[in-house]
Amino acid sequence: MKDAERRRALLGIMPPDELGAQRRAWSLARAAFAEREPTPWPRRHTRGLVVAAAAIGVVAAILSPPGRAVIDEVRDAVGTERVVGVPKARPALFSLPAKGRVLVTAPTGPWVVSADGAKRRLGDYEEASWSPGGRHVVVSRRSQLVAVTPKGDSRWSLARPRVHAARWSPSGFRIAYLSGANLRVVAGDGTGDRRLDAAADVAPAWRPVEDHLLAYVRRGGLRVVDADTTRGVWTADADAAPLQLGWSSDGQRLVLVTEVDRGRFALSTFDDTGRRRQFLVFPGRFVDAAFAPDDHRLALIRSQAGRSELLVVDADGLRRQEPVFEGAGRFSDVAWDPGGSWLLLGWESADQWLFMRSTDVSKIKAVSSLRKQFDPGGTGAGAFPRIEGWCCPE
Amino acid sequence: MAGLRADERAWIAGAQTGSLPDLEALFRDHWPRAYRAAYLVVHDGAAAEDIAQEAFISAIRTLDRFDRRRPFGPWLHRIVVNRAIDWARARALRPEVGEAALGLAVAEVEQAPATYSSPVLAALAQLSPEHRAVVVLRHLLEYAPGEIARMLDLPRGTVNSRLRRGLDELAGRLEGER
Repeated sequence: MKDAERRRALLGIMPPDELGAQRRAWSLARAAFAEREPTPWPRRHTRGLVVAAAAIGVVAAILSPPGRAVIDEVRDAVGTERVVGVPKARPALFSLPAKGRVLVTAPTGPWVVSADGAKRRLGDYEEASWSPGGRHVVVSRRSQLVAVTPKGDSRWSLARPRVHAARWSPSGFRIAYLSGANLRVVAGDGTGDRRLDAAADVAPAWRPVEDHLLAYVRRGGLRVVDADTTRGVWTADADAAPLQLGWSSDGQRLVLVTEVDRGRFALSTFDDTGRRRQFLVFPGRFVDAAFAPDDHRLALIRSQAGRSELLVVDADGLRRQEPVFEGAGRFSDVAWDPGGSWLLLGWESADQWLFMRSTDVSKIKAVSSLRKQFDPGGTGAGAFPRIEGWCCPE
Repeated sequence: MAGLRADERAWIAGAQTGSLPDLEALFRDHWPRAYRAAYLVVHDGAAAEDIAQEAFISAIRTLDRFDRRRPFGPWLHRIVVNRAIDWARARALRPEVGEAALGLAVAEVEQAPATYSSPVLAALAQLSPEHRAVVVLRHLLEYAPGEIARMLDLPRGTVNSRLRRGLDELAGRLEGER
């Protein structure tokens, strides 16, 4: 076979659905192009000069008598900065109080925090979620879903538009994620990616004890389906705007949080057959909830009138509520340690994490300057790091 | 491989300053070869689509840093073929994510045995990913052995020997088909 014949033979092989593939790829390429910010040459070179000139101007203004007067006025108007948080917070994260590793998403990307406090950045991604056993992390950015190891090594990746809310199934064999308004499922090795259904913008939830039963919300309804066969297992009405969905660790309870109005939210508890067992409206704005790893307790954060509250609610009797901690400003998220003994609370307004020995608040460990700790070398001026989960020991 | 064409240089310059039509022209010119090259190395349509998509997205994200005086094709094909080799190697080394448990998922999803639409494709499938990549770069994308060596970070002698061995195996298997 001569070179020309080889080329003809290779050109004669038609990849499947060439036009469809091109159409899909162009749509993604266009989206990626729209996201990027071109930096023309002059801007690249003038930026430093502009910043320097502005800095000189500001310093000059401050040193001048009129400048000082303005600053004094501003200081009087604003008053002294209000300090919130636990005063004896440690300035750095030295260690976790219990076994396991915490997955965090900061503006600099996802990080894995080990039990000894060591931190490792996983790359330039926006969201992250543990695989069962913590052997992998599924991370995503706008047009990409990627499986990485806790050391940050990429295993596989998938290009899809507007990827978010990826969740690894407890079996490890499947990952469900949202791509725009579509719920998609891919095997744990990155193969067999397919669309399952349209879905509301709430992270899907895998039932912990049975393979590949997936709960999600679509217009007007909560659905539980077998993700492999797409067979519906049960559905329930859910007209209100969904906020969060989660299974208890034994798969016997599914909690759906919905918004009632701007100042109230509701918790609905379903059993494993889809029967609604509990419904309760709570005052305040819902922030986050997490099931305990060993029973039907639900840690819940709500905010109201400039304060936030962490409480533990019994999913079998929603009126059984135990207030755990209350503070000024905004709490961001909550996670249980894998043993169910400790709660980790993100306190955004105080730039702190609080480790609380379950509901016994007399034992509390605080760590401060979280923004800075997850922005090494930076200013730490970005968003407060999100707690994505406290998973199993290495 | 042909050098940089004037229209390609204009598309790159346009895309770098934010022109969507120029990006589209660049995409339409390069997508078919990128997708085909990925497919010939991985022999899986969905994976080839993902690989070529990711290569384009990666190229777009770093477009600002691209030197306009250089041709776009080799830059893109380097990404495509290296990713395709990685993917094909990973698939050969089941389980893909490092655990037996996760490997079971593969068996469930990919039940269909591979069928090939052409004898050449079937013969290519018998080569290792590294040999397939060299054959595809040389005979589909028409790169010189020196260019292939730079793209794959290999000594030129290794490229030549892989090419010779790949073509010998290909010829032998096609002969056996007849």
